Amino acid sequence: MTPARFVRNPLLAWREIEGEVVVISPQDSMVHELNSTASFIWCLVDGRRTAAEIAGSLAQKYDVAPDAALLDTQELLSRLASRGLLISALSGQEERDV
Amino acid sequence: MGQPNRRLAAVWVLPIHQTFALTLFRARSRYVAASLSAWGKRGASNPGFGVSRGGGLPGLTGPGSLAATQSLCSRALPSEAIGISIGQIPLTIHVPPGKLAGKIGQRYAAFFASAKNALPVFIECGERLSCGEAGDSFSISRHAATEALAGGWNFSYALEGGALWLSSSGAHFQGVRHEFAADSLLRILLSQLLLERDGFLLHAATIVRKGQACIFAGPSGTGKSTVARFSPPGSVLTDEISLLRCSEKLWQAYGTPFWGEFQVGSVNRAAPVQGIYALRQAPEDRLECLGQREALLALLPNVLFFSREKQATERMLRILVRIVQEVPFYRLHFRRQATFSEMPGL
Repeated sequence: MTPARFVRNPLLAWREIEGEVVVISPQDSMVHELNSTASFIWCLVDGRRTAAEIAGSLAQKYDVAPDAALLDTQELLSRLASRGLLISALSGQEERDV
Repeated sequence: MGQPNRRLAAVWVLPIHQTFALTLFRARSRYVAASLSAWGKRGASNPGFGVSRGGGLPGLTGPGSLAATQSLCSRALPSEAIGISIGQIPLTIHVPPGKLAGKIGQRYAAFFASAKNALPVFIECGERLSCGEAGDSFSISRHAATEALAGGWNFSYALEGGALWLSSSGAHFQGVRHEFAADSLLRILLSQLLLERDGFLLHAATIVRKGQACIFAGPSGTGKSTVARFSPPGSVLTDEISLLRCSEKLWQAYGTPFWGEFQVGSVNRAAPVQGIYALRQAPEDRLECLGQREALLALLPNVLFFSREKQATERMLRILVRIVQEVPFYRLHFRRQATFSEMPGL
């Protein structure tokens, strides 16, 4: 089950360029591209906001139904977590430098 | 609102750039030169080379990994000192007298320089000691042991049979059996030193036209040497590895001793960067202007970068974002013929 809150993996390097986020995982030299919507969500992930809160911002910005935004936000968070880009805020490894 | 799910589905497009580890700097040499293009390309991998970063010598990647060597005694070893400067980074290479010293001297002759603040680089052909389990034996440098006792290591990298160790007081190449091995480790060393100097190494040919450097980037086989071959004599700074640095808000390309197939000889000079061209083979010649993000993604697979540290990666990312913001970037679709040079804008 998807945890309610995530933080960005503190081991990653990332930059936003032209409104889209590029994430590099130094350990395996992988580059991850996020499109603008995923980047929007990425920037809101801070260990404090819940998926519902992020989805609320998403629905407002992109003019989509709140339910759909929540489902999609949860799915994205889950996928980012499965790739190791996000970790559960419950693990206590909150990213401090953002 | 139409079909919100469908619309947001675009969010999930997260293409992953698969890493590929190594390409051969020199096909004729069995020594695996690491290219070390650390960043991969979208959907591409290069399993054929089969050497992974940091593989083969457990425990060598990362600071403070010299514990096993610290019990070694040290004594001064005779060596020749060869002063060079690449990309305005002065180095003094200390190498045992003999054939290897001669070959290294020849290889970097165009880059001879002496500087008081040169970083010492100690090359050891190495003596074999056994560390850890059977099969893990590798060369241990007495110099390295001395240095390890004196201070910590900032960076280390293991490469088939050889290794590089870097501290603030110097670098050590171990297990160096020929000049190609030394050359590979030198590329790795420079990639690390450039991080602190707003620069990086790039898989690219550098051609100087009207006093400006055109950088043609791409992995092996995309046409770097072809571009060099069709360029006027004396205009090629390198056909394989370009060195780019930003100093006083100006991006400069420097000649390097790292060559591919073209091999006309090294040139130790610099020119301001006019533009970067990511090479792509195509049925017709065409120049495509890239945005900053596309430029960054085109650049990444061609950057020589070996660190696994977050700080170093962030620094590299910052340097790369800066160059794509400050230097015009194009994708050059070309037929690998001389006609490409006649294109407007090039």
